[in-house]
Amino acid sequence: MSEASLLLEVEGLAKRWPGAAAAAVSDVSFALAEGERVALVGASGSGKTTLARLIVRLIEPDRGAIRFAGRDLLALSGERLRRLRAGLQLVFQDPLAALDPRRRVGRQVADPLRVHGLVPRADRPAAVAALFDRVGLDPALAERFPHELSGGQRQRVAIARALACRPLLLLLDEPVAQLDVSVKVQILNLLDRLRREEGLAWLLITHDLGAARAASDRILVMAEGRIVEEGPTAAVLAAPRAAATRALVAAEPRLPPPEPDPGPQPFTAPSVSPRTM
Amino acid sequence: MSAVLLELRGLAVSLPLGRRLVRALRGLDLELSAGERLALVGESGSGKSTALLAIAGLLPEEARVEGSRRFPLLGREVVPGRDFGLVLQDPFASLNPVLSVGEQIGEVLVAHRGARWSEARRASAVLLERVGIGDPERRLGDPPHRFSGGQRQRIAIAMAIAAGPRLLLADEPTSSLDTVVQSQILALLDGLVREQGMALLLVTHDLAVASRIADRIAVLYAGRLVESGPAHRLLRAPRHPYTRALLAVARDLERAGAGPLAEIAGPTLDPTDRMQGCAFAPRCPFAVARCTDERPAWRGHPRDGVACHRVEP
Amino acid sequence: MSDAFARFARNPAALLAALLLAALALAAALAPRLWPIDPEAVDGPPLLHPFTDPAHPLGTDRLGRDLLARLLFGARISLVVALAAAFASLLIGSAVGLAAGLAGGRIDDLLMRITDAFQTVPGFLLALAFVSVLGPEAESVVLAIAASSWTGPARIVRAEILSLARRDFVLAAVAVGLPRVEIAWRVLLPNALPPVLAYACASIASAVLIESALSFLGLADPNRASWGAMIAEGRAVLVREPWLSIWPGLALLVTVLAVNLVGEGLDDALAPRRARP
Repeated sequence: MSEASLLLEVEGLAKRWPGAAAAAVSDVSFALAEGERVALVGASGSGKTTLARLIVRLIEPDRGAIRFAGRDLLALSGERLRRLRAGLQLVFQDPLAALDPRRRVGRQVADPLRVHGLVPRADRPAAVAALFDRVGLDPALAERFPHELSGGQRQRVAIARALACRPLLLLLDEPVAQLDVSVKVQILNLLDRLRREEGLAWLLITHDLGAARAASDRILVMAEGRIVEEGPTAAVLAAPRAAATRALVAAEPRLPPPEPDPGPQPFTAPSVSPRTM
Repeated sequence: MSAVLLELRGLAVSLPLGRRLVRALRGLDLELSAGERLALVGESGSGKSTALLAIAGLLPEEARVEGSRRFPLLGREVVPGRDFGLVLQDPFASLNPVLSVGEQIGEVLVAHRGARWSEARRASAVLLERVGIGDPERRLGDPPHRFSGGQRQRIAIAMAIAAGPRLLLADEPTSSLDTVVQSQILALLDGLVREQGMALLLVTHDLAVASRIADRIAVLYAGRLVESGPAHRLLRAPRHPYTRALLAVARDLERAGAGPLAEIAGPTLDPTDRMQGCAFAPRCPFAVARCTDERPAWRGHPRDGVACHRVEP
Repeated sequence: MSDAFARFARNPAALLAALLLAALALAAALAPRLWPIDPEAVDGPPLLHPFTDPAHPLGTDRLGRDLLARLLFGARISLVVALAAAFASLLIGSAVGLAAGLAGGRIDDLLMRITDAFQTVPGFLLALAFVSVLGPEAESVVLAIAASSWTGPARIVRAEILSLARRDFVLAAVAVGLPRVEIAWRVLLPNALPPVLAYACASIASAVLIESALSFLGLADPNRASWGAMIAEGRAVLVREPWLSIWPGLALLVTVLAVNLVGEGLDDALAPRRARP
């Protein structure tokens, strides 16, 4: 990929919490191109969530540089930081915690449209309905409160709110870790569709290799605050080199292969007749 | 198989929500033998956690319960902690933050084994060592916040097995942990259950987790059992369309490459609905009119069978 | 909010208490029409027993003034002063708590030390001091009560703000680009207020009591009927003519009880997720 298409460049980023023995993030550098899908994996405590919050400047780093869309993110403040940060949206692990419990979800999706002056007041309900539609939600749900939605619906709302900012990059912090398998694939498919339609890039932070496999082309493996391995997702997971990567791959719960069981069966072979209608 | 330890017959649980009733369980039949390891698998809303609470006798007061729960091998009064241990999902919430872990494990021993505190202390250290906490003597005095999430789950397991129960109930014990810790905890549970000859009822939404540890898997959908069978049979040759779909999704996620993942399309059942037929019918590619009208009867053995009109016997 | 209202309406004790308070407020407001007797006029024989003369159903006091009229007019003073004082303490307390919680650092320290200083003096003594300096007018009684009770709301709001600031939905609001003022106003304050509202509601009860106690001591306007003053007047003949004190005492008891029940009902109703299974 060419220099010009780089969307996010992180260089020598470091953060140590006051009083902590080891740095949460130490000397992390990587780059991410426009439209690229990158996974950041690691065990809990490896520093991946801290790194994500450093990148959106919810935490201030001790050292290092972050360039986003060609601008130095760390040099900005106030209004200009607010504007630029809109292009870089965070999607949280627990969508119930990430939504204000006391406001209707439609209002929360409308917030970015309002504060960034993207859509005039009169057109906002229609714009919110369109966003709900894009993430596969019934626009009527805009009138609900977060606790009145299912887990999958809440995560869709959170994604709609991120999309409302018209971002170039999504920082997905374990977006499917708390969801059932069937809902998980729906959200992953939704994200993929949105990426293709909007040309989004993302950094998917996860400990779930299944999600990383499905939703990234390149993978960064983090351990003890550092990036210890990097490469194409399929290749890295097929032949992991770093110890941390090997541990992750070995620990992944996997199903046994689906051959028919040779052992004795109480019934004849399973047979479900397809619907004839 | 050995004697039946736990038997549920037609267990139905409804919880009032405002003026409506959430039908969490709609008639569950389940057997668990002594020493058997059973995984109860289902997605949120399937009633799997309610089933576990019902078995543990910990349903909220306002719950309406029908059907029966019996422990044929245990005395008439089944005491939590003594007759069964309970491990919950969130190890941060399930330990008392103001007591040391030694006190919390010791309490179980004193209450259910009639141990004296001095003995309880020694036994607690042994238990901590057994669940893989290093330097147990010294760490007995530490409060829960000095331990990591995985360590706390180990401590919760030590408490659950302290009184030597015949049954261990575990509700998503690893789903708040990362995969590396998850696999360690599963290995620990596996070893403990084998060593002590305990029966295990593991509630999980993850078939891969179930496959790591269970002899038998029972799949719940909308408050009813749709399929049950030996783990190797159910995972390799699933019979119910829902089990098949769930497995297809999980397998797709394991090998995913380009293109969208397999999904289970269609609406889920409103938990307050009364249900006539099969709850999966609206999402089932094989559904016929009978599926929405008539509740499918259980076909086959109670421990290896399926509830589906469309499966040929 | 309609949700909260429905939950409140399902709590029979709170609903009954609210209706009772509404009836009391209405009776106080419409006193001149409901019972057109001047509470300060000598209208009958002194110390008339209750239930003996239909013109004075609750009897008369030592000067022959109608007790029912005095009770109704007394309710005006008690309720208005208590409501105004609770509102003022809520306003001052929330402003201080919000400022301290948001600003942090030295401003937080300063505001909290001031709060400490107010809290070291027992509330009633503080009110006593204020009234003796400012005079017996209703306004100064309101100010005195507010001065002695704003520290509670201030501490609650500050604690809520500090715990909310670390929650995901507040970080999400920052990430989406909401300006600081808007986050304070739209996100933090509405989520911090419910426990304070419940507290403030309960503090109305203590305001009613403080007002009565000040009147009892003769520190409030002596020319207007008030429950505390009525009890004080009845004290001299308490043994022989107890109803002089019993009527205002009962009114005080019922009001304080009702206010507390409404406060508890509000607390339950405004916590959307605590009440759910």
